[in-house]
Amino acid sequence: MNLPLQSHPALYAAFDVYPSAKGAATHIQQAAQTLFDAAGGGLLYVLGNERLPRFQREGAVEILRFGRLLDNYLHRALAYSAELQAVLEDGLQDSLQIAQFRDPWSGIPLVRRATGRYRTIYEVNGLPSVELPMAYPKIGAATLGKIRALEDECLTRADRIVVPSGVIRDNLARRGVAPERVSVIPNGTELNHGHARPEDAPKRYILYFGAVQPWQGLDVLLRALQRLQDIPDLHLVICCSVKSRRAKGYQKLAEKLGVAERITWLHRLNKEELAPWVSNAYISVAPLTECARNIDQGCCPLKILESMGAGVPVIASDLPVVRELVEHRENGYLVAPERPAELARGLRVLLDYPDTVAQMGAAAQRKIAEGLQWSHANAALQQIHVELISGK
Amino acid sequence: MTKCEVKAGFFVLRPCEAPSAMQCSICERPMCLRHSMPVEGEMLCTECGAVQGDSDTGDEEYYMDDDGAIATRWFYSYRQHYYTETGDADMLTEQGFGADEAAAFAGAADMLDMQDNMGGDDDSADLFDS
Ligand SMILES: [Zn+2]
Ligand SMILES: [Zn+2]
Repeated sequence: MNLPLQSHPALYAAFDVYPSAKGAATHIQQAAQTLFDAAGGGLLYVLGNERLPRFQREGAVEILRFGRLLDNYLHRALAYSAELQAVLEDGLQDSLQIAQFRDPWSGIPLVRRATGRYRTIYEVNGLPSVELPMAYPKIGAATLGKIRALEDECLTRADRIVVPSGVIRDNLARRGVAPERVSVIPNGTELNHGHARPEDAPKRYILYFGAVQPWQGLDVLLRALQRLQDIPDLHLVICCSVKSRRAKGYQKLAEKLGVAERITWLHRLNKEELAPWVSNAYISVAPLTECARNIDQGCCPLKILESMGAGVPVIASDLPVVRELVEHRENGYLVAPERPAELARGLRVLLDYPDTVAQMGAAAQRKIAEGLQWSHANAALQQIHVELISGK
Repeated sequence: MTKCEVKAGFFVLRPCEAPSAMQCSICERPMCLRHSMPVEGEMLCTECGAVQGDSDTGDEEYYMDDDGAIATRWFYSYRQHYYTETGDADMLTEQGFGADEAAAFAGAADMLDMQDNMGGDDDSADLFDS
Protein backbone atom coordinates (compact mmCIF):
# COMPACT_ATOMS: atom_id res chain seq x y z
CA MET A 1 0.00 0.00 0.00
CA ASN A 2 1.11 3.50 -0.72
CA LEU A 3 -0.37 6.21 1.45
CA PRO A 4 -0.21 9.65 -0.10
CA LEU A 5 0.85 11.58 2.97
CA GLN A 6 1.16 15.33 2.94
CA SER A 7 4.50 17.02 3.40
CA HIS A 8 4.57 17.65 7.13
CA PRO A 9 6.64 20.22 9.05
CA ALA A 10 6.00 18.49 12.39
CA LEU A 11 5.64 15.01 13.82
CA TYR A 12 4.24 13.91 17.16
CA ALA A 13 4.93 10.24 17.88
CA ALA A 14 3.64 8.20 20.82
CA PHE A 15 3.56 4.46 21.50
CA ASP A 16 0.04 4.84 22.91
CA VAL A 17 -3.41 4.10 21.56
CA TYR A 18 -4.98 7.36 20.48
CA PRO A 19 -7.67 8.48 21.07
CA SER A 20 -8.59 6.61 24.24
CA ALA A 21 -10.26 7.26 27.58
CA LYS A 22 -6.89 7.41 29.33
CA GLY A 23 -5.07 10.41 30.73
CA ALA A 24 -2.20 9.85 28.32
CA ALA A 25 -4.52 10.48 25.38
CA THR A 26 -5.59 13.83 26.82
CA HIS A 27 -1.95 14.76 27.24
CA ILE A 28 -1.16 13.69 23.67
CA GLN A 29 -4.07 15.71 22.32
CA GLN A 30 -2.95 18.87 24.13
CA ALA A 31 0.74 18.54 23.24
CA ALA A 32 0.22 17.44 19.62
CA GLN A 33 -2.31 20.20 18.94
CA THR A 34 0.09 22.77 20.38
CA LEU A 35 2.91 21.44 18.20
CA PHE A 36 0.80 21.38 15.04
CA ASP A 37 -0.48 24.91 15.72
CA ALA A 38 3.10 26.18 16.05
CA ALA A 39 4.34 24.36 12.95
CA GLY A 40 1.29 24.77 10.72
CA GLY A 41 0.21 21.14 10.60
CA GLY A 42 1.82 17.80 11.15
CA LEU A 43 1.64 14.04 11.34
CA LEU A 44 0.50 12.21 14.45
CA TYR A 45 1.93 8.68 14.61
CA VAL A 46 0.33 6.55 17.34
CA LEU A 47 -0.98 3.05 18.07
CA GLY A 48 -4.30 1.92 16.67
CA ASN A 49 -6.64 -0.95 17.41
CA GLU A 50 -9.29 -2.88 15.49
CA ARG A 51 -11.73 0.00 15.61
CA LEU A 52 -9.58 2.99 14.86
CA PRO A 53 -8.93 3.93 11.21
CA ARG A 54 -5.34 3.29 10.21
CA PHE A 55 -5.20 6.65 8.51
CA GLN A 56 -7.07 9.92 8.98
CA ARG A 57 -6.80 13.29 7.35
CA GLU A 58 -7.89 16.39 9.28
CA GLY A 59 -6.95 19.43 7.23
CA ALA A 60 -3.23 20.03 7.69
CA VAL A 61 -3.04 17.23 10.26
CA GLU A 62 -2.81 13.57 9.37
CA ILE A 63 -3.00 10.64 11.76
CA LEU A 64 -1.19 7.40 10.98
CA ARG A 65 -1.78 4.51 13.35
CA PHE A 66 0.44 1.51 13.73
CA GLY A 67 -2.11 -1.19 13.13
CA ARG A 68 -0.36 -4.50 13.80
CA LEU A 69 -1.89 -6.19 16.80
CA LEU A 70 1.24 -8.04 17.91
CA ASP A 71 0.81 -9.72 21.27
CA ASN A 72 4.39 -9.50 22.38
CA TYR A 73 5.21 -6.07 23.79
CA LEU A 74 8.81 -6.03 22.57
CA HIS A 75 7.85 -7.20 19.08
CA ARG A 76 5.12 -4.60 18.95
CA ALA A 77 7.40 -1.82 20.15
CA LEU A 78 10.15 -2.67 17.68
CA ALA A 79 7.74 -3.11 14.76
CA TYR A 80 6.18 0.27 15.63
CA SER A 81 9.68 1.72 15.66
CA ALA A 82 10.57 0.12 12.31
CA GLU A 83 7.44 1.50 10.69
CA LEU A 84 8.29 4.99 11.94
CA GLN A 85 11.77 4.58 10.49
CA ALA A 86 10.22 3.61 7.13
CA VAL A 87 7.88 6.62 7.23
CA LEU A 88 10.83 8.92 7.89
CA GLU A 89 12.96 7.42 5.12
CA ASP A 90 10.10 7.42 2.63
CA GLY A 91 10.09 11.21 2.72
CA LEU A 92 8.95 12.61 6.03
CA GLN A 93 12.48 13.33 7.26
CA ASP A 94 13.02 15.81 4.40
CA SER A 95 10.05 18.03 5.23
CA LEU A 96 10.22 17.84 9.02
CA GLN A 97 11.32 20.84 11.04
CA ILE A 98 10.42 19.52 14.44
CA ALA A 99 9.53 16.18 16.03
CA GLN A 100 8.25 15.48 19.50
CA PHE A 101 8.11 11.99 21.02
CA ARG A 102 7.09 10.30 24.26
CA ASP A 103 9.08 7.09 24.42
CA PRO A 104 12.29 5.48 23.12
CA TRP A 105 10.37 3.34 20.60
CA SER A 106 9.40 6.58 18.85
CA GLY A 107 12.61 8.36 19.77
CA ILE A 108 15.28 6.02 18.44
CA PRO A 109 14.38 6.31 14.73
CA LEU A 110 13.82 10.04 15.22
CA VAL A 111 17.04 11.06 16.97
CA ARG A 112 19.18 8.91 14.66
CA ARG A 113 17.93 10.80 11.58
CA ALA A 114 17.57 14.28 13.05
CA THR A 115 21.06 15.71 12.63
CA GLY A 116 21.07 18.47 10.02
CA ARG A 117 17.40 17.90 9.32
CA TYR A 118 14.99 18.67 12.16
CA ARG A 119 14.92 19.38 15.91
CA THR A 120 13.64 16.94 18.50
CA ILE A 121 11.83 17.11 21.84
CA TYR A 122 11.71 14.10 24.18
CA GLU A 123 8.69 14.34 26.43
CA VAL A 124 9.48 12.00 29.33
CA ASN A 125 6.30 11.07 31.19
CA GLY A 126 7.37 7.57 32.08
CA LEU A 127 10.32 5.32 31.35
CA PRO A 128 9.82 1.78 30.02
CA SER A 129 12.87 0.64 31.99
CA VAL A 130 11.01 1.56 35.20
CA GLU A 131 7.42 0.65 34.25
CA LEU A 132 7.92 -2.50 32.16
CA PRO A 133 9.30 -4.71 34.97
CA MET A 134 6.06 -4.13 36.92
CA ALA A 135 4.02 -5.60 34.06
CA TYR A 136 6.58 -8.18 32.91
CA PRO A 137 8.53 -9.38 35.95
CA LYS A 138 10.46 -11.90 33.87
CA ILE A 139 12.42 -9.28 31.97
CA GLY A 140 16.10 -9.91 32.65
CA ALA A 141 18.59 -7.35 33.89
CA ALA A 142 20.51 -7.45 30.61
CA THR A 143 17.37 -6.73 28.60
CA LEU A 144 16.44 -3.86 30.91
CA GLY A 145 19.96 -2.51 30.49
CA LYS A 146 19.44 -2.43 26.72
CA ILE A 147 16.15 -0.58 27.11
CA ARG A 148 17.87 1.88 29.43
CA ALA A 149 20.55 2.38 26.80
CA LEU A 150 17.89 3.24 24.20
CA GLU A 151 16.39 5.74 26.66
CA ASP A 152 19.84 7.20 27.31
CA GLU A 153 20.48 7.62 23.60
CA CYS A 154 17.20 9.55 23.26
CA LEU A 155 18.03 11.62 26.35
CA THR A 156 21.49 12.45 25.02
CA ARG A 157 20.53 13.26 21.44
CA ALA A 158 17.21 15.09 21.84
CA ASP A 159 17.48 18.87 21.51
CA ARG A 160 15.10 19.45 24.40
CA ILE A 161 13.58 17.36 27.17
CA VAL A 162 10.20 18.08 28.72
CA VAL A 163 8.99 16.42 31.93
CA PRO A 164 5.77 16.89 33.94
CA SER A 165 7.36 16.94 37.39
CA GLY A 166 10.48 17.93 39.31
CA VAL A 167 10.83 14.34 40.52
CA ILE A 168 11.33 13.12 36.94
CA ARG A 169 13.80 15.95 36.27
CA ASP A 170 15.82 14.86 39.35
CA ASN A 171 15.65 11.24 38.23
CA LEU A 172 17.04 12.21 34.82
CA ALA A 173 19.74 14.30 36.52
CA ARG A 174 20.88 11.15 38.36
CA ARG A 175 21.19 9.55 34.93
CA GLY A 176 23.48 12.35 33.79
CA VAL A 177 21.04 14.67 32.03
CA ALA A 178 21.99 18.29 32.70
CA PRO A 179 19.03 19.97 34.46
CA GLU A 180 19.30 23.02 32.18
CA ARG A 181 18.33 20.85 29.19
CA VAL A 182 15.12 19.84 30.96
CA SER A 183 11.93 21.91 31.14
CA VAL A 184 9.39 21.01 33.82
CA ILE A 185 5.90 21.53 32.43
CA PRO A 186 3.24 20.04 34.72
CA ASN A 187 0.19 18.44 33.19
CA GLY A 188 -2.88 20.62 33.03
CA THR A 189 -6.60 20.25 33.40
CA GLU A 190 -9.76 22.23 32.73
CA LEU A 191 -11.66 24.09 35.40
CA ASN A 192 -14.84 22.13 36.05
CA HIS A 193 -17.43 24.49 37.48
CA GLY A 194 -20.00 22.04 38.66
CA HIS A 195 -22.41 19.75 36.90
CA ALA A 196 -25.86 18.50 37.84
CA ARG A 197 -25.59 15.67 40.32
CA PRO A 198 -25.76 12.24 38.64
CA GLU A 199 -29.22 10.81 39.34
CA ASP A 200 -27.95 7.64 40.95
CA ALA A 201 -25.25 9.34 43.04
CA PRO A 202 -25.23 8.72 46.81
CA LYS A 203 -25.91 11.84 48.88
CA ARG A 204 -22.30 12.11 50.04
CA TYR A 205 -19.55 10.05 48.46
CA ILE A 206 -15.81 9.65 48.35
CA LEU A 207 -14.47 9.29 44.80
CA TYR A 208 -11.70 7.20 43.30
CA PHE A 209 -11.23 7.50 39.57
CA GLY A 210 -8.67 6.34 37.03
CA ALA A 211 -6.97 3.08 36.20
CA VAL A 212 -6.28 0.35 38.72
CA GLN A 213 -2.61 -0.55 38.28
CA PRO A 214 -0.92 -1.78 41.46
CA TRP A 215 0.89 1.56 41.93
CA GLN A 216 -2.45 3.41 42.26
CA GLY A 217 -3.00 1.88 45.69
CA LEU A 218 -6.72 1.13 45.38
CA ASP A 219 -6.29 -1.80 47.82
CA VAL A 220 -5.07 0.63 50.49
CA LEU A 221 -8.25 2.65 50.04
CA LEU A 222 -10.45 -0.46 50.36
CA ARG A 223 -8.67 -1.42 53.57
CA ALA A 224 -9.15 2.10 54.90
CA LEU A 225 -12.84 1.91 54.10
CA GLN A 226 -13.09 -1.22 56.26
CA ARG A 227 -11.96 0.87 59.23
CA LEU A 228 -14.74 3.40 58.64
CA GLN A 229 -17.62 0.92 58.82
CA ASP A 230 -19.07 2.76 61.84
CA ILE A 231 -19.79 5.88 59.77
CA PRO A 232 -23.38 5.74 58.50
CA ASP A 233 -24.09 6.57 54.85
CA LEU A 234 -20.47 6.40 53.81
CA HIS A 235 -20.12 5.65 50.12
CA LEU A 236 -17.19 5.16 47.81
CA VAL A 237 -17.70 5.64 44.08
CA ILE A 238 -15.03 4.06 41.89
CA CYS A 239 -14.95 5.32 38.30
CA CYS A 240 -12.64 2.82 36.77
CA SER A 241 -11.12 3.59 33.37
CA VAL A 242 -10.68 -0.07 32.48
CA LYS A 243 -13.16 -2.87 31.81
CA SER A 244 -14.77 -4.49 34.83
CA ARG A 245 -12.97 -7.80 34.37
CA ARG A 246 -9.66 -6.10 35.06
CA ALA A 247 -10.95 -4.70 38.34
CA LYS A 248 -12.17 -8.13 39.48
CA GLY A 249 -9.38 -8.61 42.00
CA TYR A 250 -10.36 -5.39 43.75
CA GLN A 251 -14.04 -6.30 43.73
CA LYS A 252 -13.20 -9.59 45.41
CA LEU A 253 -11.04 -7.80 47.96
CA ALA A 254 -13.93 -5.43 48.73
CA GLU A 255 -16.20 -8.41 49.37
CA LYS A 256 -13.62 -10.07 51.58
CA LEU A 257 -13.24 -6.87 53.61
CA GLY A 258 -17.01 -6.56 53.94
CA VAL A 259 -17.19 -3.14 52.26
CA ALA A 260 -18.64 -4.19 48.89
CA GLU A 261 -22.13 -2.82 49.59
CA ARG A 262 -20.68 0.64 50.25
CA ILE A 263 -19.07 0.82 46.83
CA THR A 264 -20.56 1.90 43.50
CA TRP A 265 -18.47 0.70 40.55
CA LEU A 266 -18.67 2.56 37.25
CA HIS A 267 -16.57 1.48 34.32
CA ARG A 268 -15.05 3.29 31.40
CA LEU A 269 -17.03 6.52 31.59
CA ASN A 270 -16.10 9.04 28.92
CA LYS A 271 -15.00 12.55 29.84
CA GLU A 272 -18.51 14.00 29.75
CA GLU A 273 -19.93 11.22 31.89
CA LEU A 274 -17.10 11.38 34.42
CA ALA A 275 -17.14 15.16 35.00
CA PRO A 276 -20.40 15.24 37.06
CA TRP A 277 -19.15 12.42 39.27
CA VAL A 278 -15.97 14.35 39.95
CA SER A 279 -17.52 17.74 40.60
CA ASN A 280 -20.16 16.36 42.98
CA ALA A 281 -17.78 14.25 45.06
CA TYR A 282 -17.23 15.19 48.70
CA ILE A 283 -13.56 14.37 48.43
CA SER A 284 -11.34 12.52 45.97
CA VAL A 285 -8.70 9.94 46.94
CA ALA A 286 -5.29 9.31 45.34
CA PRO A 287 -3.72 6.54 47.47
CA LEU A 288 -0.55 6.23 45.31
CA THR A 289 1.96 3.68 46.56
CA GLU A 290 5.58 4.20 47.44
CA CYS A 291 6.92 2.24 44.44
CA ALA A 292 9.79 2.94 42.05
CA ARG A 293 7.39 4.34 39.50
CA ASN A 294 5.94 6.96 41.86
CA ILE A 295 9.10 7.65 43.87
CA ASP A 296 12.12 7.38 41.56
CA GLN A 297 10.63 7.90 38.17
CA GLY A 298 7.94 10.40 39.03
CA CYS A 299 4.59 11.17 37.46
CA CYS A 300 2.02 13.95 37.39
CA PRO A 301 -1.32 12.36 38.27
CA LEU A 302 -4.11 13.80 36.16
CA LYS A 303 -6.71 12.57 38.65
CA ILE A 304 -5.32 14.94 41.28
CA LEU A 305 -5.35 17.87 38.85
CA GLU A 306 -8.83 17.06 37.59
CA SER A 307 -10.28 16.82 41.09
CA MET A 308 -8.67 20.12 42.10
CA GLY A 309 -9.96 21.74 38.90
CA ALA A 310 -13.47 20.70 39.95
CA GLY A 311 -13.02 22.28 43.38
CA VAL A 312 -12.85 18.87 45.04
CA PRO A 313 -9.94 18.48 47.45
CA VAL A 314 -7.81 15.37 47.24
CA ILE A 315 -6.64 13.18 50.09
CA ALA A 316 -3.46 11.69 48.73
CA SER A 317 -0.31 9.82 49.65
CA ASP A 318 2.44 12.07 50.94
CA LEU A 319 4.94 11.60 48.10
CA PRO A 320 7.22 14.18 46.45
CA VAL A 321 5.25 14.01 43.18
CA VAL A 322 2.06 14.78 45.08
CA ARG A 323 3.63 17.57 47.13
CA GLU A 324 4.37 19.37 43.87
CA LEU A 325 0.59 19.78 43.49
CA VAL A 326 -1.03 19.48 46.93
CA GLU A 327 -0.31 21.52 50.07
CA HIS A 328 -1.34 19.69 53.20
CA ARG A 329 -4.41 21.25 54.86
CA GLU A 330 -4.29 24.17 52.41
CA ASN A 331 -5.76 22.69 49.26
CA GLY A 332 -5.79 19.00 50.11
CA TYR A 333 -4.75 16.47 52.69
CA LEU A 334 -1.65 14.25 52.74
CA VAL A 335 -1.25 10.94 54.53
CA ALA A 336 1.55 8.39 54.73
CA PRO A 337 1.43 6.05 51.73
CA GLU A 338 0.36 2.42 51.99
CA ARG A 339 -1.03 2.82 55.53
CA PRO A 340 -4.76 2.06 55.53
CA ALA A 341 -5.07 3.22 59.16
CA GLU A 342 -3.57 6.63 58.34
CA LEU A 343 -5.78 7.03 55.29
CA ALA A 344 -8.83 6.06 57.36
CA ARG A 345 -7.89 8.59 60.04
CA GLY A 346 -7.50 11.34 57.42
CA LEU A 347 -10.83 10.49 55.82
CA ARG A 348 -12.52 10.53 59.22
CA VAL A 349 -11.20 14.02 59.97
CA LEU A 350 -12.32 15.30 56.59
CA LEU A 351 -15.76 13.72 56.89
CA ASP A 352 -16.19 15.51 60.24
CA TYR A 353 -15.33 18.97 58.90
CA PRO A 354 -17.33 19.79 55.77
CA ASP A 355 -16.56 23.51 56.01
CA THR A 356 -12.83 22.85 55.96
CA VAL A 357 -13.28 20.50 53.01
CA ALA A 358 -15.20 23.20 51.12
CA GLN A 359 -12.44 25.75 51.83
CA MET A 360 -9.73 23.35 50.68
CA GLY A 361 -11.73 22.65 47.54
CA ALA A 362 -11.95 26.34 46.70
CA ALA A 363 -8.20 26.73 47.32
CA ALA A 364 -7.49 23.71 45.10
CA GLN A 365 -9.51 25.20 42.26
CA ARG A 366 -7.70 28.55 42.67
CA LYS A 367 -4.36 26.77 42.41
CA ILE A 368 -5.45 25.20 39.09
CA ALA A 369 -6.83 28.50 37.79
CA GLU A 370 -3.56 30.25 38.58
CA GLY A 371 -1.19 27.94 36.75
CA LEU A 372 -2.26 24.37 36.11
CA GLN A 373 -4.71 24.62 33.25
CA TRP A 374 -3.89 23.06 29.89
CA SER A 375 -3.57 26.59 28.53
CA HIS A 376 -0.62 27.16 30.90
CA ALA A 377 1.09 23.90 29.92
CA ASN A 378 0.47 24.55 26.24
CA ALA A 379 1.87 28.08 26.41
CA ALA A 380 5.09 26.80 28.01
CA LEU A 381 5.40 24.05 25.42
CA GLN A 382 4.63 26.43 22.58
CA GLN A 383 7.54 28.63 23.60
CA ILE A 384 9.87 25.65 23.15
CA HIS A 385 8.30 24.82 19.79
CA VAL A 386 8.76 28.36 18.55
CA GLU A 387 12.39 28.47 19.73
CA LEU A 388 13.24 25.18 18.04
CA ILE A 389 11.42 25.99 14.79
CA SER A 390 13.08 29.40 14.54
CA GLY A 391 16.43 27.67 15.02
CA LYS A 392 17.50 28.96 18.42
CA MET B 1 -27.10 16.78 -0.39
CA THR B 2 -25.03 13.72 0.48
CA LYS B 3 -22.36 14.15 3.09
CA CYS B 4 -18.92 12.58 3.50
CA GLU B 5 -19.12 9.61 5.87
CA VAL B 6 -15.43 9.05 6.45
CA LYS B 7 -14.49 9.12 10.15
CA ALA B 8 -13.04 12.44 11.15
CA GLY B 9 -12.02 14.20 14.35
CA PHE B 10 -8.81 14.65 16.26
CA PHE B 11 -10.01 13.37 19.62
CA VAL B 12 -13.64 12.35 19.27
CA LEU B 13 -14.28 10.50 16.02
CA ARG B 14 -17.44 11.35 14.07
CA PRO B 15 -18.42 11.46 10.39
CA CYS B 16 -16.73 14.26 8.41
CA GLU B 17 -20.02 15.57 6.92
CA ALA B 18 -18.41 17.77 4.27
CA PRO B 19 -20.36 17.73 0.98
CA SER B 20 -19.55 14.46 -0.72
CA ALA B 21 -17.95 14.56 -4.15
CA MET B 22 -17.97 10.86 -5.02
CA GLN B 23 -18.30 7.34 -3.70
CA CYS B 24 -15.56 5.04 -2.45
CA SER B 25 -15.11 2.20 -4.95
CA ILE B 26 -14.78 -0.34 -2.18
CA CYS B 27 -17.13 0.52 0.70
CA GLU B 28 -19.35 2.75 -1.46
CA ARG B 29 -19.44 5.40 1.23
CA PRO B 30 -19.97 8.95 0.06
CA MET B 31 -16.72 10.87 0.56
CA CYS B 32 -15.40 14.40 0.14
CA LEU B 33 -12.31 15.29 -1.91
CA ARG B 34 -10.12 15.55 1.15
CA HIS B 35 -11.00 12.06 2.32
CA SER B 36 -10.44 10.36 -1.00
CA MET B 37 -7.25 9.06 -2.54
CA PRO B 38 -6.36 7.42 -5.85
CA VAL B 39 -5.24 3.80 -5.53
CA GLU B 40 -4.60 1.76 -8.68
CA GLY B 41 -6.73 4.07 -10.75
CA GLU B 42 -9.69 3.94 -8.41
CA MET B 43 -10.82 6.55 -5.94
CA LEU B 44 -10.98 5.16 -2.41
CA CYS B 45 -11.81 6.70 0.93
CA THR B 46 -8.81 7.24 3.20
CA GLU B 47 -9.77 4.26 5.37
CA CYS B 48 -10.09 1.80 2.48
CA GLY B 49 -7.04 3.33 0.82
CA ALA B 50 -4.98 2.70 3.94
CA VAL B 51 -5.67 -1.03 3.94
CA GLN B 52 -5.36 -1.69 0.20
CA GLY B 53 -2.58 -3.41 -1.67
CA ASP B 54 0.25 -1.70 -3.49
CA SER B 55 -0.76 1.24 -5.55
CA ASP B 56 0.70 2.17 -8.90
CA THR B 57 1.15 5.78 -7.96
CA GLY B 58 4.54 7.41 -8.29
CA ASP B 59 6.93 8.53 -5.62
CA GLU B 60 5.70 12.05 -5.48
CA GLU B 61 2.80 13.89 -6.95
CA TYR B 62 1.59 17.42 -7.06
CA TYR B 63 -1.92 18.25 -6.13
CA MET B 64 -4.04 21.30 -5.49
CA ASP B 65 -4.81 21.89 -1.86
CA ASP B 66 -7.94 23.65 -0.63
CA ASP B 67 -6.55 27.10 -1.30
CA GLY B 68 -5.64 26.17 -4.83
CA ALA B 69 -1.93 26.14 -4.02
CA ILE B 70 0.35 23.46 -5.39
CA ALA B 71 1.67 21.22 -2.65
CA THR B 72 3.66 18.04 -2.64
CA ARG B 73 2.72 14.72 -1.22
CA TRP B 74 5.02 11.84 -0.69
CA PHE B 75 4.12 8.22 -0.60
CA TYR B 76 4.68 5.98 2.32
CA SER B 77 4.81 2.32 1.34
CA TYR B 78 3.49 0.14 4.09
CA ARG B 79 5.43 -3.08 4.27
CA GLN B 80 3.18 -5.57 5.94
CA HIS B 81 5.79 -8.30 5.53
CA TYR B 82 8.47 -6.18 7.14
CA TYR B 83 8.16 -7.93 10.44
CA THR B 84 6.19 -10.78 11.89
CA GLU B 85 6.42 -12.16 15.39
CA THR B 86 7.19 -15.69 14.38
CA GLY B 87 9.28 -15.17 11.28
CA ASP B 88 11.67 -12.30 11.37
CA ALA B 89 13.95 -11.78 14.33
CA ASP B 90 16.10 -9.26 12.45
CA MET B 91 14.50 -6.33 14.10
CA LEU B 92 15.36 -7.60 17.55
CA THR B 93 18.98 -8.04 16.59
CA GLU B 94 19.06 -4.69 14.78
CA GLN B 95 18.25 -2.99 18.09
CA GLY B 96 20.64 -5.23 19.97
CA PHE B 97 18.12 -7.64 21.49
CA GLY B 98 18.72 -11.39 21.40
CA ALA B 99 15.95 -13.43 19.81
CA ASP B 100 15.32 -15.14 23.15
CA GLU B 101 14.83 -11.90 25.07
CA ALA B 102 11.37 -11.27 23.66
CA ALA B 103 9.94 -14.24 25.57
CA ALA B 104 9.73 -12.20 28.79
CA PHE B 105 7.38 -9.74 27.04
CA ALA B 106 4.87 -12.36 25.92
CA GLY B 107 1.21 -12.75 26.74
CA ALA B 108 -1.95 -11.22 25.34
CA ALA B 109 -3.32 -10.51 28.80
CA ASP B 110 -0.08 -8.81 29.70
CA MET B 111 -0.40 -6.77 26.56
CA LEU B 112 -3.81 -5.47 27.57
CA ASP B 113 -2.62 -4.62 31.04
CA MET B 114 0.47 -2.99 29.68
CA GLN B 115 -1.59 -0.80 27.39
CA ASP B 116 -3.30 0.44 30.52
CA ASN B 117 -0.08 0.78 32.41
CA MET B 118 1.51 2.79 29.68
CA GLY B 119 -1.55 4.96 29.53
CA GLY B 120 -3.10 3.46 26.43
CA ASP B 121 -6.33 1.58 25.99
CA ASP B 122 -7.11 -1.57 24.11
CA ASP B 123 -10.59 -0.53 23.29
CA SER B 124 -11.87 2.98 22.79
CA ALA B 125 -15.44 2.41 21.74
CA ASP B 126 -16.72 5.18 23.95
CA LEU B 127 -14.84 7.78 21.93
CA PHE B 128 -16.68 7.03 18.73
CA ASP B 129 -19.57 9.06 17.47
CA SER B 130 -20.20 10.41 20.92
ZN1 LIG C 1 -14.06 3.16 1.53
ZN1 LIG D 1 -14.64 14.15 4.33
